[in-house]
Amino acid sequence: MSSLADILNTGRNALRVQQLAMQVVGQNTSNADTEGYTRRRLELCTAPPYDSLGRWDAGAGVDIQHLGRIRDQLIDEQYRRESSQLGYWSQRDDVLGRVEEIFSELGGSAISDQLQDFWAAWSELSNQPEGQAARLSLVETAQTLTTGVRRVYDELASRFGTVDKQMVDDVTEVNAITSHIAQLNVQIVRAETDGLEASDLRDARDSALDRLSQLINITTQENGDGAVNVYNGGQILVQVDRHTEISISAESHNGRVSSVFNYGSSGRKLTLEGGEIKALMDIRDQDIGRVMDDMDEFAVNLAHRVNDIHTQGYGLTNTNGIEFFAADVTGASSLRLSSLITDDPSRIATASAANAPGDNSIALQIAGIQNEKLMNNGRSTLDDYYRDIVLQVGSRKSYATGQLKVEQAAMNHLENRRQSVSGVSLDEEMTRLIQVQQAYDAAARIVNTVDEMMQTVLTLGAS
Amino acid sequence: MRVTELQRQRAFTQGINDRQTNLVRLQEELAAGRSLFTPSENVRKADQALHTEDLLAMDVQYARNIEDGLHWVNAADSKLQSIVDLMNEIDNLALSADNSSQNEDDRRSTAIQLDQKIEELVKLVNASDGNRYLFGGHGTTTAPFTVVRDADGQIQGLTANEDTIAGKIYRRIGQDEDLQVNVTGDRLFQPVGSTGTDADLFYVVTTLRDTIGNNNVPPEGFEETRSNNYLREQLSLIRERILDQQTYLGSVGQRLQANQTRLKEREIQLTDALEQAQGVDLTDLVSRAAIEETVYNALAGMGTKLLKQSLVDYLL
Repeated sequence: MSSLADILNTGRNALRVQQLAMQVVGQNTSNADTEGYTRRRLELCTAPPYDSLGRWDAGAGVDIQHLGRIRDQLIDEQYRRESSQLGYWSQRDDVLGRVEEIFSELGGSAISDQLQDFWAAWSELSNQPEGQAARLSLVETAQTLTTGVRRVYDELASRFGTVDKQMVDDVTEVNAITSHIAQLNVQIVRAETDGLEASDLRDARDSALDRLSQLINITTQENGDGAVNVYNGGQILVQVDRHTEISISAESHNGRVSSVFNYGSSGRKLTLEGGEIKALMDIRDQDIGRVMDDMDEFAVNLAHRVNDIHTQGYGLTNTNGIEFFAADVTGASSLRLSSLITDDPSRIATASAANAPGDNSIALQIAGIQNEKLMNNGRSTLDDYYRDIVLQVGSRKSYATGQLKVEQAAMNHLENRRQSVSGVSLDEEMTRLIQVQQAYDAAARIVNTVDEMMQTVLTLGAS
Repeated sequence: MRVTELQRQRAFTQGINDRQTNLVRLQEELAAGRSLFTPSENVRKADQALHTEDLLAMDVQYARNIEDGLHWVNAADSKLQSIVDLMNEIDNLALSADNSSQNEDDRRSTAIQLDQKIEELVKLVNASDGNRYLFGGHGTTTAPFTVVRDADGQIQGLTANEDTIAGKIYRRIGQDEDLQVNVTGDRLFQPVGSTGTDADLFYVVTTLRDTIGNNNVPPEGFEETRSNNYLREQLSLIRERILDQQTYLGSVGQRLQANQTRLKEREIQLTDALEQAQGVDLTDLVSRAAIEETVYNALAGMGTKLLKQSLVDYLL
């Protein structure tokens, strides 16, 4: 049978445990709206009896069984899988949106309008081939078009560079995160081996894994000692306390540059299937790269076809063989007018013979290029081709937006499930607060009562 | 299912954000008067809008070309009518000179009148509209006919700039549809290579003037058959030729006007198609805005009331 001192000790234990329980309530309540915080739970158990051989031992009160986080690993795995997809589509949606803004079609003053103005200026010149006004107007309109094409191309190139830099930054971040996870693994294993509580470290590691899953697709596996191994496809990125850095390089296939992710210094390659980096890679190598190629194709065909006809014609100066666009146009970035034309618009060819100022046949032929199916093996006009460039970007952005919505809905669902398991409910904590307070009051009452009982015993001895 | 503070906050924030996004979008549509801002919002409609805008722009230019063509045709037609009227006057003078009641002096006087008519005729065949000669073919900046005068300054004939006079001038009035809007001096007055022949208007009228001035006797070196009547017949043939060209101009004018009408009708269709692709239905927009505003107010009211309440409120 327990002594009064044992009962006093039971009360003291209860006070200690309830105090800790109150601390847990305080911790949870304080972090009710902290992102990445996982609620803590103090699990109690009956303390083992003081005298296990005693026949009438009521027990030693309460003890702490476990203090830890409430987390569902299955949801975490699902969350990180979806996070990679969300990261991928979110990045595509964002960057393609910016690419689409570069074209700013449907808002007026875009290239398709400038192209229309260019054809109209040739048509207008065919109405007034002998005058200077229509020639000056054509030069101005053509310069607006060439400036517009170069601006779009330069902005695409700038976006290409930004995406490139962001990809490098993201790869650096991946390496920083995997390094951080490896460090956290060490700290968690050490703390838990020493019997210490490592919930904060685990929260930090989970946040790092969440962020990593946005950048690249990963899978994780937790070891028995609390360390987590991180994989990308078949390659291991973090193995307990070690991490393997990844790097990015470019490879060229059939004249097209594409990005390659190297796994450490092993010469092996990473195959990305999701995440922001994969999105950036696709956007840079496939989307922006292709749009820039298409813009080059557009510019070169426009310049060459106009020049083909223009060189056959005569201007008011009665000379022929002059190019309208510069002869060295090799792409959108070099599209500009010939200096001979800008210096003297009288040289613009409108006639098919010399000394025929009223002959507008060349001007009409050039205006007619608008309806020539020059592109896509005779299937599209230049106008169609440019419109297709714009619409293809729009179509890709539209698809990305649709996929993003799907992924966001899935992530919202998973986030809710995760919150439902690991988040803090103030109502729940307040209920727990009342429970703990009452238990603490009751334990204090026991201590008081035992104290009184001891006083009684001491009084017996004194009398 | 447990409901946590973050879940409640997120649901509320998401709801508010969604409503505000919708409201901002509706405001943008209302302000811009269109429902499409980027192709990605609706690729099919964007395609339709961009294509329609291109067609509208092309039609605007075709309409301008037609305007210019009509101006050209009307100016040429007006001058040709003056020329035909003048040729009628010349014919009447020649007819009166053929009358036996006229004596030599009368005929000399008629010849002087004819000379003045020829001077007028020269001005008309070299007529210009603004800075462009109407009947010079591709030679629109220099007079198509050069006057040849004798020592006394009397017109002996006209020579055409044969390099350019037959040049045809076209206007683009539709896709792959070019229409010749000029009539050329060679087909009207002096076919290329016909200078000094019966097909040459100026040869006929100057010879007529000289014959009548010579008391209806063809000048020395001219065949006897080239009488007043013969020359009048030649003049009549040339006039028929000019009338044919006038008829051509009339048909060109009609075709231009028909295309003008067609373009106006098409503009209505295309504007309608553009409106369907990217226009806004104001009634629908205002209704949606009212609904969004109501939902936003309800959400904000309920959200702020529910969010600030928890068990904490009942503990103290």
